[in-house]
Amino acid sequence: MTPHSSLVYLLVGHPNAGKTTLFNYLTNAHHHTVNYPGSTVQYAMGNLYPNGPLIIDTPGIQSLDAQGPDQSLTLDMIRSPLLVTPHPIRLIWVVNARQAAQELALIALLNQQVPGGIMVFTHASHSLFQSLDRVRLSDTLPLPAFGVDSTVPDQYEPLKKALITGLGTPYVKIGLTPPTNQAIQLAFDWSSSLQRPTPTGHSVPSLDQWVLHPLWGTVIITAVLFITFVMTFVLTSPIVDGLDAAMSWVIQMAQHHIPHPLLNAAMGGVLGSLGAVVVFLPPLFVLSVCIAIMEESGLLTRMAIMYDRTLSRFGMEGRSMVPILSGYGCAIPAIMSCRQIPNRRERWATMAAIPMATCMARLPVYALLLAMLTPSAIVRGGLLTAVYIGSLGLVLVTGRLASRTLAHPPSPSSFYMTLPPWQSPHLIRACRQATRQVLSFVIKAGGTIVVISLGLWGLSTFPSPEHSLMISLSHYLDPIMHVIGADWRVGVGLLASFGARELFGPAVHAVSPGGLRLSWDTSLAILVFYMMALQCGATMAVLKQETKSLRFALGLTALYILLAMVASVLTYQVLHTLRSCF
Amino acid sequence: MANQMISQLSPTTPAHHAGQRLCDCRGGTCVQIVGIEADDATCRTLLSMGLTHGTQLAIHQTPHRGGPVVVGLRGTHIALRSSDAAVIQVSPLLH
Repeated sequence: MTPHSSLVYLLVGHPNAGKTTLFNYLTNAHHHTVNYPGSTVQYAMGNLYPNGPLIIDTPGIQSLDAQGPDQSLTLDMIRSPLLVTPHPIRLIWVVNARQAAQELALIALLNQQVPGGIMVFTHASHSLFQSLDRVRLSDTLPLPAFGVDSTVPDQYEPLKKALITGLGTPYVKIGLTPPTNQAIQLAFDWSSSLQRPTPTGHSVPSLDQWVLHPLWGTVIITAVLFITFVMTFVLTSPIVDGLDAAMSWVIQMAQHHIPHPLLNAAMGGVLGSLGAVVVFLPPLFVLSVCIAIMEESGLLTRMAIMYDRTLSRFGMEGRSMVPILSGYGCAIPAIMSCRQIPNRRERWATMAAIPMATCMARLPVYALLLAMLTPSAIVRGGLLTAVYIGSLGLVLVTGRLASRTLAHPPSPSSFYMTLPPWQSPHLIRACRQATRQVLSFVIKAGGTIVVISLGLWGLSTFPSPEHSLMISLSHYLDPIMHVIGADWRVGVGLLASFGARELFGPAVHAVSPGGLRLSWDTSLAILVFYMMALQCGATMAVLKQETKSLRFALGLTALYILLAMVASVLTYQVLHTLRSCF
Repeated sequence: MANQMISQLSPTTPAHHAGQRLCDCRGGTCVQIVGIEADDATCRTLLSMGLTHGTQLAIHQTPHRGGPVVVGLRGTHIALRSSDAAVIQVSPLLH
């Protein structure tokens, strides 16, 4: 008998087949995510019990034609499982019993080319599963079949026992060719004959009649987005203020207790920079929770459907909605989530547009600049809203320009989405997902921030504080910064923020002990610069990984920085001329 | 049977044989797909989604100013861009 630890099962099925729920039941949610070799696409794997059979979850597929990087991954794993595991693999076809007539066609097509797997029907308590024509099913798919339902946990036991015995045919490599149109037609004819009644029997959920309504849907979705942004920025502001105060206290205590002046200054610089990051973690967390809840409930899919018409005018498509929305939190997960966009040109256009979305790292910079512009909190709020609306405009315009200039051959663009059933979201799961996202951000950004703040401290301290390297540098920076009416101190802030945007404030603060005052035209010019400039090493790296094109990543970064510089200088010059006229 | 299907899916199928376009149908009605008039790639995408010849569709939402079309088929609901729905030829189902 095969040792249990060398038994490997791959869960394959449609996007809403219930693979992940099944996976969580089988592995007791003890799993980890792994990068697919040579790409950043992730998949989850976990054991049935410690050292037991290994279960691998895959992104859902709808056909044997790869529709975007996510679905290509699943097809690659079916073709050559050796890429992810040294052992032969067995397949588990996961089918949602409520829509078996739709999903079984794909299983039948795959089964013609892949050695026998196991069929698992999820939602098996549903009446439609009982009405399935089992005889016809086993004539074409003579495979062991199990019915499971998350409301009846005992139903998983026979499946778990079968997996331990090594049910299914193992294989190490197969060829997988897309079926002919004729074969697809025959497969759907067969699967349609398995289940009655006809489509008239299923009415669209009443909630969808509202959410997908041309008028009410727009009102509902706009309201949900508005509430999300209010929760993200307004409700978290007391927490942010508290964190800010706590960080200042920590810095004071550190300076009080570290006797050595050099060490003291270095510590103050690093803590100040970390403080700039800590303040935008609460909004990032809340936005991530909101997006996770929208996704799990099924609302995000409806949003994509409703916004497809608008986004398709700007060179993108409905599914671009999700990356753009999460781009307002952090561009890195947003660019990664573009993998679900099947059309290459639309995917690249969306990736090019995301850096224009106001990510959370720009928030401390905007807060600092807006505070210099006006003392009124209401005016600041209004200006910040204008910045967000402006950045949405920039996202759309860059999407359109990118899709027009990208060198890919135009391919016909289609948009279709299966509506997932509405589900009540799981708040704890959403919080867990958001925590993971925030933590990965802290780990990624933390190192860069510490290194840059130590570098800044070094520049302003050596060889001596009176004749430091920073002062020598200022002679070169002063004339350049003059074009936006600023001096070398702002230049240092801009240079530091090429490592991480949020370092602008701490860097400026570090080189101007007496505090910095900027005129309103200069503040606005810097604000315009930050709206457009792509100053994030991690974004550049992820752009390169996702497109496999260093030229695209470098070119986009250089272009956006150049654009930001030109726009910033123009803003200052126009405003300055107007100011001197009146 | 196979030959018949290919002719129905061919771009040269005359419109008057194929019936009306899916995007022109009224909400709340039931129709049957009789053909797809599109390039190979679009045709293939729609076929893979199960929009095959003879499939019965319940129309839940029709495009309003270019919005999506929502249809029910085989227990699922699918939203389509109205330009994709425009290439699907359907005939009304009588109940």
